Amino acid sequence: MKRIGILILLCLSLCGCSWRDAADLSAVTAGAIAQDENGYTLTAELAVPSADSAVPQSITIAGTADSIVQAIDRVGTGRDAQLYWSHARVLLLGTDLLRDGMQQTVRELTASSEVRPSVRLCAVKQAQADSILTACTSVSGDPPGFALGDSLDLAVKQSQTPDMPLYRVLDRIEADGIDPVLPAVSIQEEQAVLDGAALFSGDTLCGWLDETQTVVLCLLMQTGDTAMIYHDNTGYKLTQINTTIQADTSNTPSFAVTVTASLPCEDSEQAKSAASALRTQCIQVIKTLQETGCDALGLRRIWTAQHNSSDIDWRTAPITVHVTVRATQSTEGGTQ
Amino acid sequence: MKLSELSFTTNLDENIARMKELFAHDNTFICRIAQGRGSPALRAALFFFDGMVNNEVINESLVKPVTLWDGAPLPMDAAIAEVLHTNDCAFDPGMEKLFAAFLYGDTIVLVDGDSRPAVVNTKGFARRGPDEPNNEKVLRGPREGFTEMFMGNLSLIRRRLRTPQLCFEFMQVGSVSHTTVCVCYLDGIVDQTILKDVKRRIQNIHLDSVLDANYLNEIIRDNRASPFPTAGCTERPDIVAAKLLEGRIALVVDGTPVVLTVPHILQETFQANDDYYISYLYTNLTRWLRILGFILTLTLPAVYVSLLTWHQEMIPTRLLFSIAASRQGVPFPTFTEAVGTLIVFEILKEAGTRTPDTIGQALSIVGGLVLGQAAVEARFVSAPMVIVVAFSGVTALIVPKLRTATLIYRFFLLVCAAILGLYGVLLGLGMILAQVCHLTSFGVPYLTNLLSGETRSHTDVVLRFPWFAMKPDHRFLAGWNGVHR
Repeated sequence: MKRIGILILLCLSLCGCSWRDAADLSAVTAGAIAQDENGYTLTAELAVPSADSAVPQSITIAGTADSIVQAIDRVGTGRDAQLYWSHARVLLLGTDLLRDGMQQTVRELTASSEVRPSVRLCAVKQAQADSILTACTSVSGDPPGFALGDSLDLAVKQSQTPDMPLYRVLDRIEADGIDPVLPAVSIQEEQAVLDGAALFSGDTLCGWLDETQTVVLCLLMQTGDTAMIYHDNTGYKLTQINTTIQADTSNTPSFAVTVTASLPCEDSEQAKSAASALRTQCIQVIKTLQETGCDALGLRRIWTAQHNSSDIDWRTAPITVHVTVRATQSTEGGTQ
Repeated sequence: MKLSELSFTTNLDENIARMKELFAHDNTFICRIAQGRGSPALRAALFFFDGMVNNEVINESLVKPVTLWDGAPLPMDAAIAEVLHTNDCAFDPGMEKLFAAFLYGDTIVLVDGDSRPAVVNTKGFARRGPDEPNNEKVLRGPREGFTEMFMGNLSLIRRRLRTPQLCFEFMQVGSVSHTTVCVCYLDGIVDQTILKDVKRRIQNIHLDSVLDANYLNEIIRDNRASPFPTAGCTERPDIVAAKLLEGRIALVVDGTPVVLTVPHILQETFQANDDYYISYLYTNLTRWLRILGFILTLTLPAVYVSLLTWHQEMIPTRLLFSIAASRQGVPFPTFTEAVGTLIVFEILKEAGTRTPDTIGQALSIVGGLVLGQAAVEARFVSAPMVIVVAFSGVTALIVPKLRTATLIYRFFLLVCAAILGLYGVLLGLGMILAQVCHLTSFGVPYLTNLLSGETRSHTDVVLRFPWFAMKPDHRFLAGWNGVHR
């Protein structure tokens, strides 16, 4: 009997005493974090299940505190049901917070046991962070934040925006040596829409890319093996993309970016045209990165790995871009 | 007065009076006196029970020969040889055997001037045909089933195994019922150690009556407290024949169509009756479904409760919304809801089992559809819980041999899930597995073949190999004995 008692106590000690019935929880579908002189303001979009409808109603609640962890605790104060952050799909970060540096915020979010490390982060462009959740209308019955999460999923799958979950952002800020790039969100016609990407130098917001540039950046970062690029109102769907970035073998600080891709097209002229357009756009994006100081391509790390020295000003280093596009339905390819 | 202490005298009238006195309160007791034509005439008394005997046999084999006998009176042994027309007659077998046979439909014959009785086989009570057992139906294959007729059941087995190796050894159990149990095996294939063990256990039964095979089962089987069956039950002679060929022992109990087969191991619970009569490809698919069904019926409610109370993060978001919406207004916690729904389901199942077929169908509709729908609409339970419990209940039906284990361990795992979540479910499954590993059936490990590394014993476990790949010496106990002898 004594042994059984000890066994039961051992089991109970392992259980963590965190029984929570699903009905006692309010699932948070999205959150927005803004920073001002009062501290952090956390806005949470809750999905409130309705007995009469399969689609949950959404409400937003907000709390302000000196730290993210306190804000997470405070935002749910006074509610019957406990806030449940594990199903949050996207966290929106306000521009002010990003300009001041997001390292502290990302660290606190990662340390919190409430938020899943795989939640995606987004930068809010030309709007208040909470307005994305409060001012936008729902999409097909889904709460705006939840619908934004769906859009983000789709865009990531199509390599239209960088995939930046919380854990990856923290890795990039603290360990990787590559600067993070967050998808940007803005409000257009009362809807939250993806609007390019936010560039960071370290953990500080340093610039923006539009949608077309973001696609090219994703291509350079090789977040997928397909991409849709546009030139003169013509779209080119590139497949089998392979991007390599190499530092110069001599001590001259320069880099070579090589992009190879396939393009289903009728003749080689189209492939040549696509290659030319892609090269131009790549050069433009790389130039923007250098100007803003966002090392999203990890140039410093590439140089360090090859030369055992981090002594390089990658922002002024010349970068040559080689683009090869193969026409998959013709025998010839266009090369620039 | 004990029947064994009774004795007859040479005076027939005295014997008749004694028998009438003995069965004075039994209105089915009949005493028929027959007298021959000779001078002096042969006088015989026949004692039998109405309804237990074949009247035609008594008239043609006993009464008619005596009444037509025109010779002098004869002693009993001579009367058997010269007068009676019967092929199954025991002369002066001793009082105990005499009355055991008499009470089981035979006829006692006494002649005047001789105190030694004879007992003639005149059994002729009502019997039913060897219909297909309702709970062991097959899509294809033999459709005969055992009946309550003891000798008829043995004949059904012998018809399938026409070999002198087939042995039937009779034993008596029950101090009042004197039930005959037949230990049936194939000599040369059966393991002698197990056979001796089975006989010893039967001899050690001290019950006043044995009315069904389950009386034996509960007493002689290993691990009596375990809900896992360690002795097999069947009503099909083809199954018994197959088990005997695999080296098992069958226990045929008089008065019941249920035959026990021992040893019984876990792999048998996933074998269906017609596994061997249809394509092995189809059999293998359905056998896997049975294994999957057993796992699902055991764990599904527990996993559902643990996901909803402990691991909500593992539920896809939209599904969580759907479940949360359906749980709106339900006043009970998920665990209470699950336990309550399972109990209601078991009540409905039990009621359906005990009611006649015609009412049973109506009960299924009212219980399953109307009650379920009404309970969901009244917010007593949520729709997903009804789905989980119903699915768990339906999957339990595809492994009927494990229904006791399923019923008990389903609730056990549910409690584990409520206390410790998925960790508890895994812990509970580990405890069940540990218990199953500990089980034996007449000394044979319960998980034989499942945990064995010996490849030749795997031809009929999770996969049923085709017949051309399943040679006789590769089968379960024959192979197992070969290893252990």
